[in-house]
Amino acid sequence: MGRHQPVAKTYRRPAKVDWMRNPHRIRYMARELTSVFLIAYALVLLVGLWRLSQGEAAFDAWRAALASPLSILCHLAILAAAVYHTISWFEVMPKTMPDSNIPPAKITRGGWAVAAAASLLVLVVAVGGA
Amino acid sequence: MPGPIRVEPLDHFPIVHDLVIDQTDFLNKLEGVKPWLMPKTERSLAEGPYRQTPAQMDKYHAYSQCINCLLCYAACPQYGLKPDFTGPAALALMHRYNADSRDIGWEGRSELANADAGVWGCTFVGVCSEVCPQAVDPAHAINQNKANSAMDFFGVRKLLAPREGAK
Repeated sequence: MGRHQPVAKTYRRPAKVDWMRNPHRIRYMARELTSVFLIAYALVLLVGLWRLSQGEAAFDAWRAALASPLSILCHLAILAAAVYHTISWFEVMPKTMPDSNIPPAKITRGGWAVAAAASLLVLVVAVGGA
Repeated sequence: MPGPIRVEPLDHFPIVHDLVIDQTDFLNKLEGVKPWLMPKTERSLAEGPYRQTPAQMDKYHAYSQCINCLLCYAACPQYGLKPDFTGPAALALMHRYNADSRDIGWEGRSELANADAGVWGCTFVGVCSEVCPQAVDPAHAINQNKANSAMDFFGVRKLLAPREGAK
């Protein structure tokens, strides 16, 4: 494509992208990695739905499995990843929005506030329902 | 004590010799985004220049400040992994013309933006905007056009188009 012709003889360094080269790339990879934890949690909830369809005994067994120490440890890791994902995602969110006069920091803080409020609501409903 | 400084040719480009790289790929991509004004209505010389308000100019001014230094291409890991990717500077320049009130806008360059090598080649690492010495913010230019591209895919842009034209 294009009218410019490449230089005939060039050297290409062995292509290798170094994801650890600078702090920015590390933060990006950390943000991407946390989404794996979020998928894992979505799968846990889907399994719960599937067990519910199998009847009360199956659902109770699923709930008992969730109470095991290993499961609680996993959930704590998922919680930490979800918090990091939420914080870091809203930090970059202003760049996904159309140009506007709203200061980027305001968009970020707004996102954090909505996420915190939604989490609080879920917590209140969950504690109230328990 | 400051750390050592490493001097090397720009990453991701073929090296000609020493620090000299071959920027052919970039030049072709830059031309590929049609970086010229495609006027909504042709004006004759007698009618004078196209006029624009300061507010209309603000919409694209920051994106027009690129000096083609290629730091964003050297910083972008996606360009390193996928040389087809149109890349930060060229896509920022595409947005510069799309956002210009005198230009026909998105429709003139949508095919390139919607392509795999267009805005969707970006995974939003965002490091292009960090290294840009001109504060062009290519990551912002690219990522707001993912919304445009998605709306285009679902046909929403066509619904909005008559209203945009009436402005």
